[in-house]
Amino acid sequence: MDVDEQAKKIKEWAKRYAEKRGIELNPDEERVDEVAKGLAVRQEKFGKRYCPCRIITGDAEEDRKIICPCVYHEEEVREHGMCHCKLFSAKRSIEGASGETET
Amino acid sequence: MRYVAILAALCLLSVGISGCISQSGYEFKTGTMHPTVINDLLKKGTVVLFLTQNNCPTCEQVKPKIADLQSQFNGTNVTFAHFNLDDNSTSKSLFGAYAVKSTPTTVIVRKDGAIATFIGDFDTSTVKSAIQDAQKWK
Repeated sequence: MDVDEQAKKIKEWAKRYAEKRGIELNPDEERVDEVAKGLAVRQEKFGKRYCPCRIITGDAEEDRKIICPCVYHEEEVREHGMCHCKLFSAKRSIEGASGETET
Repeated sequence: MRYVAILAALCLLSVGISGCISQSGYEFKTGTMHPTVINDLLKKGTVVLFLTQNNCPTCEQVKPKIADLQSQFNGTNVTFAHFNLDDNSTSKSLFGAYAVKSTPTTVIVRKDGAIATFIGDFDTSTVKSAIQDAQKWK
């Protein structure tokens, strides 16, 4: 399966997942396509759907946490309105979904 | 006397509240061991590191903001350096040095080595303020 086809399948999966979890896909479809492609590239390269905005450490235990949907996405959607990769968003609100600041 | 005390308490409260509101949203932290390549750049002044990787949509989204900031600080003592994790071994060691776990990560390095870190997308004016603060450090 080529990357574009894989990305399409990932997008469909993400939509179903979001519906099931009471969240939404980012209404910015272009953005969703980019993230889906990033996930597909990683699926192709590493065999796992690692989040395209997170660092793969090589430690299987750690890296399991960043397989989409990552362990962080629910908290990020709740606190920032979107997950870090901006694939998933809170329902009916994408405003205020800026990035996190580490202080 | 009682009114004076109440007034003083209200003043202190308002100062406290305004202090909270005016908080910058970033903090410079010391104690980072910088790689040689960054120590060399620090000799010129403030360093802004933009750390990205391939296939990272947020990195692409933030790139124009970095370009905008870079043009605003053009001709100053601020050096902008972009490292892509997938490019070379220098980038890999940098990501390790700054404990980068996600991208993009923007690190402002003050001349004394203290750093302020912004993860993901950011508000350009906040990062600009952080750079200006860093510039003041002699």
